[in-house]
Amino acid sequence: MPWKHGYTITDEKSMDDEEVKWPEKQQCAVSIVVDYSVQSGPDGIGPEDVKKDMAEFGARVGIWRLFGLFEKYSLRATFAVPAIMAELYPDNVRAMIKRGHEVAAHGYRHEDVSRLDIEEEKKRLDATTQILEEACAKRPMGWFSLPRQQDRYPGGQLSLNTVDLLIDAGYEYMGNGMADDIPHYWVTDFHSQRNILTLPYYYHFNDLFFLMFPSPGMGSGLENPMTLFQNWRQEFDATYRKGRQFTMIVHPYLIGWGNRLEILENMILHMKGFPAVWNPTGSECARYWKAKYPASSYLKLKESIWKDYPGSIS
Amino acid sequence: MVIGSRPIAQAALSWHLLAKGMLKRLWVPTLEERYHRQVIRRRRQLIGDRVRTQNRIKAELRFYGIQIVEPRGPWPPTRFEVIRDYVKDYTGVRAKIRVCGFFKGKTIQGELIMKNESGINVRDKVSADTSGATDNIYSKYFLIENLQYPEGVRLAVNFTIDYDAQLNRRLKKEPAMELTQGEFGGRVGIWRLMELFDKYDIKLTLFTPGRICELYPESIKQAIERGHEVANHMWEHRVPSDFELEKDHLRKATEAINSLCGKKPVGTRSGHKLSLLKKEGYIYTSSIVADDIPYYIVDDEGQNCMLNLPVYYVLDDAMYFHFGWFGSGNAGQRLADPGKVYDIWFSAFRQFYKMERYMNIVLHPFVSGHSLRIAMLERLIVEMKHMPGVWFPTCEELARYCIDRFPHPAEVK
Repeated sequence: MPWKHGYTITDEKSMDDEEVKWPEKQQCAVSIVVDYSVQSGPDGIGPEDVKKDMAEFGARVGIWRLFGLFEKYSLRATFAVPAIMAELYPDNVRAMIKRGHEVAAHGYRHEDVSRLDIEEEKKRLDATTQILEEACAKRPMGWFSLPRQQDRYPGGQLSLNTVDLLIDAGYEYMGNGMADDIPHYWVTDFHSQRNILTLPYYYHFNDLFFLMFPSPGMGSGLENPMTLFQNWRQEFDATYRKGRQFTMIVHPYLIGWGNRLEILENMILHMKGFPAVWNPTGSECARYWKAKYPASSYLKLKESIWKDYPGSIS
Repeated sequence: MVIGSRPIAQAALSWHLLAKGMLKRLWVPTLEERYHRQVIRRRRQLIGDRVRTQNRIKAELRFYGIQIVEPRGPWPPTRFEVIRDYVKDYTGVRAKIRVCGFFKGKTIQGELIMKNESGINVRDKVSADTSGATDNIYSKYFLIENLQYPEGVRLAVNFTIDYDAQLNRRLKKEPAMELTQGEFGGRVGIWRLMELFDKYDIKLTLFTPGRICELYPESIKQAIERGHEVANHMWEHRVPSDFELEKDHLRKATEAINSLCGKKPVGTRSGHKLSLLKKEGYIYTSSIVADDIPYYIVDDEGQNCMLNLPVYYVLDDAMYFHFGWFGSGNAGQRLADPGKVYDIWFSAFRQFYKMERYMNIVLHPFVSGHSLRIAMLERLIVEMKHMPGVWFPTCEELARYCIDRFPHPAEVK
């Protein structure tokens, strides 16, 4: 693609539906991401956040409801766990591993890393990797940067250095990117084609923005589970026909309560009714994609044709 | 007696009221009066300029014989304000006010009729001099009175794409992750939209910022090959306030599209000045909505007019699906599901079909390119294509038709 630094992160055109092939002739891929963080501000999870009632609910009750559902329907999920949560809830993290799910990194405290300078960010990244490696007995393969409920932007925050730091630290994949609905390569430098595989994310499939959103006290009509369910179901139906990937993001402290479990179970039952649906964890998906569609042959970057002019944004 | 000049009105009126007793019925407007009040209110909304508002209201009010003089109170009072003043001033007193009058040259003579408690009409003569009213009050919009589509066509539907991709995100200095959201539009969305509309043989109009020709040239070339129209959408999704820079941006955008597509764009969706657009050869614009069918806008100097294909946010996908539309904050978001939008759009289609008007649907590839919305659009297109007499032209096709058959009087050769 006519690459332009500051505007594009990958090549000009995505793969056609016919080109996308999943292992063992599966029709489409469905990823479930569980964001194992609690509500916090942009500075991340602090002691007050963990002491809140909903946080307790998520860690003691919600997560076990999710485990129960995943076991009942033989599903595998990717748990995006901030390092601090791994330290506070080691039992839950061990349970995730034991039950066959993947534990991926989700920042040191699920903070907004765009506010950190490069040294601080690197320090925290290394600390996160180390903490999760100890908690899970193997190092995390993926890194997520999902949004907080009161964030200005729904995609999650990255600094200018985050992706480079991830590549340096040897992460296999970046967990969320909005540039496509299949795995794609996030390129940080055109000439060296330095890249990291990025898994697709879209905020319309994230329960954060539909369940008690924006937050109690900030308006009426905050609960919109049917909108979320419609988004999930319609995207899955359309994606199944195309043969691409559908990613849903849930939070234990939100989805684990009452009515939301019903829509989650209905969604799972709906998906289970379709044959040949592949349900990989993040690292399984990344490993498959990198083997099948390596960047060296499939990433088609082209030299930039952008010209800077006075009076135009560069 | 003079309305609008409160102290005198107050004094004069109070004598009548006190003399005739307390009035108790509230003014109940007739349907026609309500409609015209709405017309007045709506036209006020359309015009930002205070002076022009004043002139407009003067013109409208004169149909009702309400005098137009320089008041001492706040101006401009709408007719409602005038009446409200009365109701407010005379607490406990409610007036049924009916105004009738006639326009005699530059003077209005009219009567203010009020029914008092005993049901007796209290009449007061009103008069005013309207020499301040301007003649070209309606110069900004020229509505086409009797638009007729070609034989057999009841409704024209333009599907337009605002191919912003990540430009608007970059303009607003949004962080890197948000730009990937825009990138989806160029990488995935535009291809899906073209594929969808080609399947149903509907030609699109792509309003493309000039910079997109440097970011996603393949998609633009494909669009031309498939017969869609590529129109202007500014250079980098903004109109500079500096005149020379604005001219430069417009020229660059026109040239970028011309060199990539082999022909100059003739339409725009921007706030560029009409004089500059006309010089660069544009024949239509597509933005604001003073009517629900194509109409002409005239610029402030009154020198240039251009056809406008109206667009309203109800038919804009970003309004429903984009988090932070127009920079709105987190707490203002009410993300919709495709079903809600389908219901609204199909309802609009039914209504416009009944009324034989016009529809302009705006799609952003980074929004509508997601699979669930493509599926929704397909359902919508299938329903639309079911109905006889629905025409799906490109904006250029429709614009040329309107300009040929229903030109602005100033443009008639």
